[in-house]
Amino acid sequence: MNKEMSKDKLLSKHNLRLLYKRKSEVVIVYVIFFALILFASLSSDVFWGTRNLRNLLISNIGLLLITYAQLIVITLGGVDLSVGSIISMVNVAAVTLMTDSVGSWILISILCLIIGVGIGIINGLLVVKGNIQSIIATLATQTIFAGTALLIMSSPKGTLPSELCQFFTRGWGYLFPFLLVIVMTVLIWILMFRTNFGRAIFAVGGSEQAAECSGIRVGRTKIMAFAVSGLISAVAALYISFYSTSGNPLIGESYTQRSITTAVVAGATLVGGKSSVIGCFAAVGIMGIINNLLNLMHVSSYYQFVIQGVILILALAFSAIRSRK
Amino acid sequence: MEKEQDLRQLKLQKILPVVFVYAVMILLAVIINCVSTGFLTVDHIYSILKQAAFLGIVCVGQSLVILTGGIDLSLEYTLLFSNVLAAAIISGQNENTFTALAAVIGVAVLIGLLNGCGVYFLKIPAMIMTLSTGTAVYGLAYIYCNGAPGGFTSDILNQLSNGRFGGIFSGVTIVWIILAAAVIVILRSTVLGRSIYAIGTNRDSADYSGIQVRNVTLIVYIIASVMAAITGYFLLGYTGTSYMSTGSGYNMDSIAAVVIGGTSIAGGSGGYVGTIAGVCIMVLINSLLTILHMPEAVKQIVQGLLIAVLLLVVSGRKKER
Repeated sequence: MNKEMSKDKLLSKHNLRLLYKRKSEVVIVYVIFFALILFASLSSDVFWGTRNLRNLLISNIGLLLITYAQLIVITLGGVDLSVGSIISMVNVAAVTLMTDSVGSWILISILCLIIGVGIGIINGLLVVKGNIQSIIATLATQTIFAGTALLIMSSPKGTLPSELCQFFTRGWGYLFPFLLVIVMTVLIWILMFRTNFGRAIFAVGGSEQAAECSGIRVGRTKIMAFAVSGLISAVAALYISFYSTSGNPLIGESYTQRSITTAVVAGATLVGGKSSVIGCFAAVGIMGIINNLLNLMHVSSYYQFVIQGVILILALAFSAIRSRK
Repeated sequence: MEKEQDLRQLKLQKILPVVFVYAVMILLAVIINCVSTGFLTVDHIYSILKQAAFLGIVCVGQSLVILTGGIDLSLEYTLLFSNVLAAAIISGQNENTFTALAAVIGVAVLIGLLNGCGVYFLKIPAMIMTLSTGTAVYGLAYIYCNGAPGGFTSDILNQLSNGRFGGIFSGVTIVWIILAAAVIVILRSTVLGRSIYAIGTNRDSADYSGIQVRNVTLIVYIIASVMAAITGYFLLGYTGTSYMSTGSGYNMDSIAAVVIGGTSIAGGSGGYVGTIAGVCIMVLINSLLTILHMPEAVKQIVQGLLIAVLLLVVSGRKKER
């Protein structure tokens, strides 16, 4: 596999065509992404304003990270409906437990990551040891942990330490959130494309039996993938909580559906074995810019749902037709 | 002789999970009766059957879609839209009752057709396609009523939903029974039914063996949307007026009920007989927790645990064989 990769780097015409063939979905997502940017800059004067761009970045990091978490499970050939409940659990835990001391910030953040990994491992065990399809197993854990979050905090209340929130969303003159995106993206790219674990995920997603026959420990790979997905979800959850600065037991609800959509728009198929880390950035960008534009144009939020749904269907239809050719 | 034995064993394998869910259902009913002595009165059975009917009708569509190997996440939004639309059209007038029914079914056919086309022609994964149409329909519902649903039920519709026939049956329960009987017959002994199983087992081989995959896929998604719309219509009669929160939770509840009932989420195996028990289990557990004065959060947790445990038991037994 490594040899193939290095061959691709020779930018001969043939290889460029090959690259396009293999990555056609990603190319399309970026075409749509840039078309939207072009449309945005033509139709709104404030779009390129520093403030708008900053807001665009910091308000979509949460979705981007949660998309990475979802991507790992989708590449495995499953789907994770529990990411939303991880966000809610982490939010509720962080808001109830964090105090003003730096020590508690670190300790509670670590605890939050452990919560994420824990829920991920439960998902993995249900799927592997319990022999339940991931969509149903995670539907069950989603219900359980969303309920638990609601049990701990029955209505939105409480706030997070404002210095910490400031740092995460605006730290170092907005350099911190920017770096967070870069670092996480690079880490996940390396994990998926440059490690044995990543290769095992692709193999299991492509064909479980073939993976088993070639000596990959399918069960262990699955459990680990769910655990990593849980970990990334927890990081995303921390960011989302710091961005919102307050406690809300229902905060994660919408993220499950959105993360599945963005991961699929990015080029992952729900059958597994395919994925694109780079595509996620454009996919989340597409969603973010659509919302941003609709806000800038003062379109009622009612219309936003319709327009989002229609654009989604169009984007998916477009890439479906394109990839069939 | 051997063939006959094999056949018998195969039949037993099919029936066992269904027997299991019915046993769980009866056990739950007994537990409720013990916790709150004399719970199983005519009045309570009437109201449980009525609640089950709403979820049950949605599950008619959801089972068919899941049996073909798909999933429909637009159902609760279709339900909401039909609820809002029906309230606005009827606005208390008896003579509008059936115009409204025709209208919501008409809209539902369009939504189902859109879902089916996306899934069949564009090969968009059912989960994503139905989620996208669902999002759009949700927005349309808001736009249609500007965020505040107007209108209310007519007497006829109220009677249809809440009226009592023969002690334990409400109008909507009878509708459910008719639809349930119809879907069981369709699945067992019609070409459409057998095609649904064939597509769920292996779409390509179904295609090669001459099954009209396109028509069946479209029909199944249309039926699912129409069932959701009918549920929304009768829910209007049940609650009197329309709310924007109507239908929330029906997607996940219907999937849970179908899967608890022994239908494989991957498609191709299962049926509606088990789903009926799945629906009753969901409603009974809800009643039990209400009797015990549990908050909504605990209800959710228990429901999730129940799904996990029931499926663990079912899939565990599958492995043994």
